[in-house]
Formats: sequence, C-alpha cells, structure tokens
Amino acid sequence: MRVRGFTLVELLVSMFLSSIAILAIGSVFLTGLRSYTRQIEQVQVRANLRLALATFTRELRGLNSGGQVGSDIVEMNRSSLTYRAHRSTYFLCTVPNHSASTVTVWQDQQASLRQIEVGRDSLLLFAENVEADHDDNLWLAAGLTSVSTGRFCPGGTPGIRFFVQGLSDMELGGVYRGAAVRGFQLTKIRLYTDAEGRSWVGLQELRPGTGWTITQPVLGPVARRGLRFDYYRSDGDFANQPAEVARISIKVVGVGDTPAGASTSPVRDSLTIHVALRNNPRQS
Amino acid sequence: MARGHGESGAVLALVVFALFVLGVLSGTAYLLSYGEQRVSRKFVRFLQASAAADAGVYAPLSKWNAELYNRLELGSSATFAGDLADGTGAYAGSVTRLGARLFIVAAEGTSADEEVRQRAGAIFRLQSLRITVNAALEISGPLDIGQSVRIDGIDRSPFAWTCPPAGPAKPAVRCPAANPNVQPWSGCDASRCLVGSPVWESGTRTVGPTGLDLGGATLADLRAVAAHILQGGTLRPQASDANGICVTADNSNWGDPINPRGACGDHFPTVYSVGDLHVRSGYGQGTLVVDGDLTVADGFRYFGVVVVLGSFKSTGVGSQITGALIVANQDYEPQTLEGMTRIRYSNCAVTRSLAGSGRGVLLRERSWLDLY
Repeated sequence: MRVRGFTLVELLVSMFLSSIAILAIGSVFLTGLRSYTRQIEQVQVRANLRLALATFTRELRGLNSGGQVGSDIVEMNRSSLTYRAHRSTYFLCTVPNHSASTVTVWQDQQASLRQIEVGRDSLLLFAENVEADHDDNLWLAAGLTSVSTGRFCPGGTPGIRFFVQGLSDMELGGVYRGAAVRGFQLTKIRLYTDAEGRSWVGLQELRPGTGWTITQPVLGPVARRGLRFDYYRSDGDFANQPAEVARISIKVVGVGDTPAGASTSPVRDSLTIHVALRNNPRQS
Repeated sequence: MARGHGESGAVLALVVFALFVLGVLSGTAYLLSYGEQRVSRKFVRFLQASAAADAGVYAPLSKWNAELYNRLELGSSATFAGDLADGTGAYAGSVTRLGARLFIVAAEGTSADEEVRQRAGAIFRLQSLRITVNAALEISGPLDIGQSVRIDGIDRSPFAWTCPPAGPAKPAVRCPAANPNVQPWSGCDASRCLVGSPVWESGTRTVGPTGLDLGGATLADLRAVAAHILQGGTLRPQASDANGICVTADNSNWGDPINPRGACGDHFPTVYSVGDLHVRSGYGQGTLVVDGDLTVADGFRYFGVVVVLGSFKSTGVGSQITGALIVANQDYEPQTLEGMTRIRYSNCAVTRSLAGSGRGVLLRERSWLDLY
C-alpha cells in the first residue's frame, strides 16, 4: 500500500500555522520574561526603600539639634547631612576621680553599637549638679585621651576607665554614680556616583588625622538626584539653622539595576520618611 | 484514504511547550508576588515591634510605680510587661537603678505574631514634686491657739533619721495679718508658744488656675502620684508588714517614721483625701493632702508635708506634725489648735517625703537610647 505524502499546499498551510503559533508563544514568553525582570527590579527597589526607612529612622531619630553642647547636626543641605552619630552609651559605676580626670563605667551595663575608641569618638557626660534640681542638669562635652579595662567597679566587677580632658573640677563635681557617658562620631550621609555612573547613598566617618573615610554604600542604586533632605522646625516651617531642626524629611528615589543601553527604562519608586528628633530638648 | 493512527503532527508538542512556558511564567509570577508579600509582612512586623518597644519604654513612665521603682537598690531591676491596646504587639522590659536618681529603662517589643523583636531604651531621672515651705505652719482665717500648743520653726531632724545638717530656721507661723505688729490669732501669745526666725510673719498663698499655689507641684500632680486616694472618714494609720515586707497597698499604712530601718521605713506615700478626714492617733510619713477639713486627735504623729484645703483642727492629747503644715482654709472657717499639739519644721522630713513621691521623667535632652 502506498502512503500519500503532504501536498505542497498542506505543507505551506501547516508551516504558516506553526509559525504563527511559535510567534505567539515566543511573544508571550518574551513578555513574561520582561515582566519577570521588571518585577525582580521592583522587588529590589522596594527592598532598598525599606532599608532606607529602617536605616534613616534608626540613625537620625537619636539626634539632638538644639542641645546645651551645640547641635548634633553639623552641616545640613539638600543632598547630604553631617551629624554627630551616637555610637555608645555607658554608665558610671563610681563618682569621677577629679585628680586623675577619669570616669569609670560598668563594662556589662552599656548600650553600644561598638566599643568607644580613642581618636574616633568624642564624649558627652551627664551632670546632675544639685541632685534635687531638675533644671540644672547638663551634658558636658569632653575629649577622650585613653581607655583602660580592669576590675575597676565596686565589688571588683569589670569596668572601663576613660581618661577625659576638657572638664573642670567643678564640672566633674556635678557628675554622680549612674550618670550616662555617651560616645559620638562625626558622620556624613551623602549621595555619590560610582565608576559606572550609578548613584548610591553612602556614609562617611571623620577620623582625626586622616580625614573622612572612603564612602561606604548604604543603599542603592538610586536616581541621579535620588536623595533629598528637608529640615523642619517644631512649628512645621522649614528650618534654616541646625539648632532649629525638629524633624528631618528624607526622600529616596530608588531605581532598578537595568544595564545602560537597555531598551526599557529602569524601574523607579520613591519613599519619603519623616524622622522626629526625639532627643531634642523638652520642657521639664 | 484515511490516515493511520500512528501518524501525528507538531501541534501536540507545540501545545505542551506553550503550556510549559505559561506554567513557568505563572509560577514565577506567583513566587515573586508571594515573596514580595512575605517581605512586606515581615516589614510590617518590624514596624509593629519597633512601636511596641517604644511603648514599652513609655509604660513605666506613664504609670510610675513609686512604691517599687523608688525603692530599688542601686544596680537592681524590676520588670514590667504589657500589650498594646490595639493588639498590634506586646512589650516586656526592666527598670534598673543606676544611681540615686537615675534609671535606665530597657524594653523589647514584639510584633503581633511574636516573630519580630525590637529593642529601645531611655534614661529616666527621678523627679520629686516641689512644694515651697515658708513656715512650720502656714494658715489663714480665724485661728485660736491653745496655751499648751508649741509651734517651732527651727530646723530639726526627726529622731533616728539619717539627715543632712540642719538648715536655717523658718518662721513658726505665716498667716495674713491686717497689722504686722499685732498677732492675728487669739489664745496663746507668740512669745510663749512660738519659736522661729522670725517668730511669725504675715503672708498668704495665692490660689491660681491650678488651685492653691504650692510653689511647684499642683494639686493635680499630688493626686496623680498619690499611693492612696481616700474618700475621707476616720482613720488610725500605722505601718503594716507581712514577713518583713511592707504592705504598701494597705490604705492605713502611711509608712514607719518611728522605725526608719523597719520594713516600712522607706515608705513615704502621698495620701490624697477627697473628703473631710479625721485621724485619731496612729502615725505616718510622706505627703498628706486633704481636699476638705482635717481633724487630728489623740497623739497622731506625722512626718512630712501636710496640705489641707479646708480647715484644720487639732484636739485631745497632743498630736505632732514634723515637717510642715499648710492650711488653705478656703471656706474661712474658725480653726483651733488645742491640747499639747506640736508643729515642728523639719527640712529633712519635707525633702525625704517629697522624694518618696518622686516619679520618673525623661531627661530634658538625650534621654533615648538605641539598644543593640
């Protein structure tokens, strides 16, 4: 028995139909792939914005813009912020030693991101002065010259001894057991551009002698002008001076990591965060 | 001729391939959206936990337990816990005494599903209420002082109390006088019954929008920190303890000034009575505020500050108030101090009593801490 083959017409029709089907499926596939890629970008951008919310809130809410020892905000503008960042808190286990200019703190009672370092941190020391009086409480600014550890606290418990400078006997006389010692470091948040032309939000720290460290990326990539700070007073108006700032608004515009020259524009999304400075002076 | 069963085209393969591609795409889309949803939920939990931690820091501040926190030893802690009212989280934490007046509060907040935890802390300072004391007895209105009454403005420490050295003397009596050279009360002569520097002086406290001017604390402040709010009535206060632990919840336990090293020796409650109060014998220490008339009798002894908005009457066997007595006498009723009544100024009793009712407040600046 002889089996018949396809006629030319049948072959052409089937090839035509097959190519339409393949094109349709390919088109769906490519669309899906693009959609998948954009969704991945969208997820990345949103993750960045969430990171911005968490980072900025934690980093900036502890600032004090109008304190007795000057503002923690050193320099403020639209694209960068330089501030005294809180990095450590300790508590005195004994009264200060006036003659040796030392304060001794508990080693195991602290709230620190990292240990205090000579040359990197400056100190603020809480002075109650007249104990029964709330109005004469002060934070005293001091320099740190050296640090030693040992069993310095009552009962031979572990302590850290800070050798401080810049405080008079009278000032140290108003500091009692239990007073807080807080360590600060000058820090800058700013926008910068990498070698490939992408913008990032970065952080720098000031090290005496060597100047600002190289910028460490905190989050990104962001749009070219994807970081903007606005500063507000407690009455809601714009603040012109660091000492007036009660609230900082941070707008971050995140972008996807689409390679340059891609046919589609990168994904963009933005987030505005308002951080109230909760360590600002309050009414007693 | 019909085609055989073994013959087949490419359609089936194409359909299978298309279904596979669509399946992969929908699966990926689902996974992406599910992943995004999970991350978003996690972030909401992070925010819930952060808010709960902050609420935890405020918890001891808003309901300062003076009986517990004010009596903590240096370095010791007391714990607390609670839920957020809207059910979005919970907190637990501790108050640790760092110094005579300084505390650290550390709180850990958890999200509603308890999957995420965040910590926050703050430094608190013990702030005592301030009442300015101008004399051993400040009083207004028609007053009769019996022959055996003694009012003393010399600063003296209560017996067996640990106190700083005595300070300057105050007037024995301060009251309004039409003529500053003529004593404005009847009965005992100033030179016989009163000791002070000066013996007495003319003056009165003003009444402002927040009530009687006490020189710092308002009546609302005093009521807010009161350990006992009484409806008035008759009472015989005395210290009470159970197995060496002071029973501070007892409305009749106003501390133990007689035995300062006893279980209730450090108990200096603020007692606020919203009606007329009769105290017959017994003893106490702290701050006593009576929004009404106060009658003391039969040897009642009190150490601290007594503020009476109505009138004051002392009868029977001598009652003693060591610290300061402020009588507003807002109804301008006749008042009598009879028997062997003793009113003595004591800066130590005043200061310790007010400190006992102190409450935690955030430092004026740089109070908040991030805990890691």
